[in-house]
Amino acid sequence: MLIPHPLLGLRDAQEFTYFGDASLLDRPDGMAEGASEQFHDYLYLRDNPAGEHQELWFHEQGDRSWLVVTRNTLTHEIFKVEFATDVALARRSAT
Amino acid sequence: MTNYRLSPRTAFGASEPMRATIGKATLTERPEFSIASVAVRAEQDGIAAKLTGGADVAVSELVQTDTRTVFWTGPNQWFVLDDHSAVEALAQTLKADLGASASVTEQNDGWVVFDLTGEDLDEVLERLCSINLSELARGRAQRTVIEHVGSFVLCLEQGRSYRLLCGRSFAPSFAHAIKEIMVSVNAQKTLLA
Repeated sequence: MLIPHPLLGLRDAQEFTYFGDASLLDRPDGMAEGASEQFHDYLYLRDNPAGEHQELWFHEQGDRSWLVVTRNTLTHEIFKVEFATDVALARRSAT
Repeated sequence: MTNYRLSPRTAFGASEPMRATIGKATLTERPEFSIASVAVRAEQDGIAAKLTGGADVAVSELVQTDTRTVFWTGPNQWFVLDDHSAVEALAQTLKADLGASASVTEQNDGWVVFDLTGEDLDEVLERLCSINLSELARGRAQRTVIEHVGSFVLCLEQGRSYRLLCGRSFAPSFAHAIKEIMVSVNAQKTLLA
């Protein structure tokens, strides 16, 4: 599998490590009310879609950036690759 | 007070740099570089130009000045090589220049520099790593894996001169892997000649 890195172009998936669902970016506020419930869901509940899925990948043997890869889990087609920092900042400013 | 008598050792535990010539390729250890890494802090700009003294360092590229080599390692991050005898405390020197605008980490004992020189080196490198060598022209730098070791490959002259960096503790294994490939490439050439 080749992953189209936003800066470096097509790179072999062997250079990357898979970290998990991109919902890990949405860490709940530990001081908020009901934080333990929210952390339970954050830690244990994952969607497992057969289709489009957002994932965190780390370019370990490359520029060591964190990426959000939007991928079809059925066909392995990659739709979009963004820097995780950009995604996290966009989500933060949207809330 | 105890008087320690210390003598510098290379990454191979020797007093002289490692050097191996096999066929038309030569692998040389280059202990004469001081090394530091620089990472930009939030909302700071123009750091690469400060490192090179003018030129910016584009993605996956390296810039060489009189004594310094600066290469891109990641977004807003670079490695700097300088002359060890003149600027041994390179990290301190850079930190004094950059102040709070960047984080500087000493890498002198973290990484080892090798030069791979000769002819038709693509034949050696293509057996060692997954870099697209036709695109790795002069002035390009890329991080990759050689013999399971994370390393940097800098192209000084395509096919003829490359600078390699790997973690210091991996130096013997790294050099061994490269020498093995140099031997096999040379053997193939001799057989086919």
